[in-house]
Amino acid sequence: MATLLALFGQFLHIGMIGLAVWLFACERAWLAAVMAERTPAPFVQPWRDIMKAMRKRRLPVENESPLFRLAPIVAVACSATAVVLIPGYALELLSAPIADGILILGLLAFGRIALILGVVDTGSASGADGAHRAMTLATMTGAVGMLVVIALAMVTGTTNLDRMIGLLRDSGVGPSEAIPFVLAALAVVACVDLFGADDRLEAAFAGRDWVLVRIDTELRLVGWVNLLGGLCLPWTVSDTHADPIAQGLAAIGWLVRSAACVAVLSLVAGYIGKARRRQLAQILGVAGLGAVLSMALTLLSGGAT
Amino acid sequence: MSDLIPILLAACIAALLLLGIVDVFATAIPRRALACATACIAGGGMVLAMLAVAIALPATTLAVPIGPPGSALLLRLDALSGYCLTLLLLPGTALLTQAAARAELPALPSMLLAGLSWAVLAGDGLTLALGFCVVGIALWRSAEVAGPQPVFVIVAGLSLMVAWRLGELPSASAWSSVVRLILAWIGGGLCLRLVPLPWWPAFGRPELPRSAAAILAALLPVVGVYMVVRLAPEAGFPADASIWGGALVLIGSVACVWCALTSEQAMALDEAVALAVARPSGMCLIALGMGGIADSADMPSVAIGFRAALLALLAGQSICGTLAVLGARAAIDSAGSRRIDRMGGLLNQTPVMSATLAIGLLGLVAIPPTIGFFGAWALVQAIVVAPRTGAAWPDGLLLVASVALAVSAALALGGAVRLCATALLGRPRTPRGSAAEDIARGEWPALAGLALCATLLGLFPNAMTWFGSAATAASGTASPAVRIDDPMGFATSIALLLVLGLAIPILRVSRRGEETGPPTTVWSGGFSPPPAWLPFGDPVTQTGGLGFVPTLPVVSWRTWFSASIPFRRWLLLGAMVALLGIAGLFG
Repeated sequence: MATLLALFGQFLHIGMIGLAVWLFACERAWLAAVMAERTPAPFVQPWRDIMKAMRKRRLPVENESPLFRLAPIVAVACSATAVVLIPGYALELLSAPIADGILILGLLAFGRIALILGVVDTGSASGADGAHRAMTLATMTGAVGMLVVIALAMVTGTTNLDRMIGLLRDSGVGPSEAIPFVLAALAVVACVDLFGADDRLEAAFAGRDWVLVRIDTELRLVGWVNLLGGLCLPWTVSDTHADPIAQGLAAIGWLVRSAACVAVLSLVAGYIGKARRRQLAQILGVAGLGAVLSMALTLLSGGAT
Repeated sequence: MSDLIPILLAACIAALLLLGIVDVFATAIPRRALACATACIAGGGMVLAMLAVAIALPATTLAVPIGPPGSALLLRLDALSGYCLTLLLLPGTALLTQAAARAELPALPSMLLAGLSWAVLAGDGLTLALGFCVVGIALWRSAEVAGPQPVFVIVAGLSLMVAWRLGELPSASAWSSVVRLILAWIGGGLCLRLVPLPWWPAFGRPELPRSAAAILAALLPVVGVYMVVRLAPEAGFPADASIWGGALVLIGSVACVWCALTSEQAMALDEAVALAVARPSGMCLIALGMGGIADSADMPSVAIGFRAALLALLAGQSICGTLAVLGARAAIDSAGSRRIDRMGGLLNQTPVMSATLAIGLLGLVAIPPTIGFFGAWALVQAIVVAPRTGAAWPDGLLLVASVALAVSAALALGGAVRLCATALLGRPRTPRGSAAEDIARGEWPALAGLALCATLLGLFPNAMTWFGSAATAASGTASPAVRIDDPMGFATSIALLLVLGLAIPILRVSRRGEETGPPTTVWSGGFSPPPAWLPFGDPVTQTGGLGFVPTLPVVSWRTWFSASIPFRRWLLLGAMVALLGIAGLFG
């Protein structure tokens, strides 16, 4: 019975991710227009653009290789796998035992690398320039992201995200003063990863490949929002064996929480998107320092082992 | 059976050495036949070594009736030496198979392999020194292409021999223990290519055979770690264990970051790859140091976690390092240049070579699903579950090791992507590069086998930890078994299945009914397409490998405190307050 519930929860989680990808893309575009003091386009315009791009005739790029064609597919598959593994509205899903933070970081990194390599393979100056910036950011966010995962693991005693959220919700592990630092660092990493990337990386693709790259971006957004929401507000997360009403409430709560999180992130996106590489490095440096500080606090207090 | 394995193994190593010598002098014998014979013998040795580990062979000593008057050479085989021999002979067999396919003279690789295997099997100091002497002499014969490496190897062998001899003294004083430990570290560090770090040549000169270059870069560090493990626990840490273990952790942390940083800045492919291969050595030192501290504090369950990580890291370094070095040397040979900005576009001409280099590099920088990822994961797990005392020194080590791991992993990843992107992708930059030849078909099975090993071990790490559990037990920890949590043992394989399960439908859906137009020039941000008289495109518009990874900021105090940029001033102030806070919290 428990397995069946976990299986049902897993399918619901996947369905909600699909809904969130659609919803948050529209929300983000709408908020961006509002913040730029422009009249927003219809709410579903991003998806109209995507459907339009799906119907476009493909114009193959000179010198393109199978790697260029496969890169968006690999990126979407890696991001989707990572997002499915990150706990959403409920814990103890079927994927819970393998929801390892380091594995998820590795999958996200692999997806981003596939995209970067695909763009460089065209040999264009513009694409390579975008790839440089994307890789520099990926290196910096990777370092700070890894620090954050280790810091969180030191606080909770595990690298499994499902167990991490469960422990934060149920027992309030670790020194409480260490947690804000690491969560702030995580938020910074999420913002820079999502909004610091260059548009030129996306612009190297066209038609259906561009659609896949857009979906990859939205999936990453959902993944980061899931992670941030789960760790910052662990009491909003339910269990798969809880009663159906509680689960339904948790699912609605998840949607509201995530939409609010996307709105907050969209506010930051304006600043991050305009920031130069050096400024982003400085911001990430502060985030890294926060992660190190939280590790130090955890170690000092004897920590959770 | 258990008595027979050491004898057969010693015979295999002797045969490898003998065939190497025959190859030098008997030029009439066909090279390919000799290379095939050496590959078969190395394969046989590998099977025997695996058998020794699989049956958890108890320590068996074999006296070889040769040596100085009145004494015999001693060989000692146990599960730990069997594990290290497996890690030597598995890539070694692939390298010799490749040499056979290329009809390359197998003298140097077979002698190097025999010398290193002999050193691993050594049961006394003299036997150990003999093994290193064989390696040194084999390299000295090729001194013009091996550079100063023979000197380093012989110094390593001598310091390890003296360390071993000091341990055999009947009444060892505290000072002799200290000297022994330092000598073991110097010898091991030389093998790990971490001492003297800046003066180690990449893989010798390009004339050095590929297989010999791979043995020196990827397999010699395995022997170095084995020697430090074998010699250090017997001596014990002389005074306060946390000081000596902590020193190892600090050295390993610095080495990790230094190797990753210099690798991502090097413009020569062989240098960059050699440094990337050396980075796991630093991680091994971290695992060794922390494991030693845990041992001294009588915490076997913690020590065993670090030892499991060490075994996985060693496997990753030997297998993925061999692949990366072979790929890099093949790229240099086929593109006719060491500089990555003179290569480019090799993927289209040389797919197998490119795949070899890419798999090796991705394994070394711990991207799933390779064994390199599992090694890094296991080390992080061991650090996370290590108990804390609340005191600054041992706990600060965990902090330093975590930061070094995170920073070096990201830098190494950036460096690997830079190498792949610049050397393998884009358009060819030279006529030679556009006509590069791929690795010959005969060499493919050896490379495919290594790549398969790297991936399968990463996908099913429990198989490796089961295989290595006897070795871990033999390396000084009382607890006999190493087993990663069951779900995580299959996590990478499940994740890979999920990725594939998603990628295939996405591929089918995204390509269904798609119309394709004529090929067009890629949008170049306003640049015009390259003219017809530039057949390789305009080299200036392609990436030259610079700017992929962040450069370290140069601190100019005048700039930092300039009134025009108050943000930085506040940032610096915040950083200083945070550091003071950390220092204050640690008392």
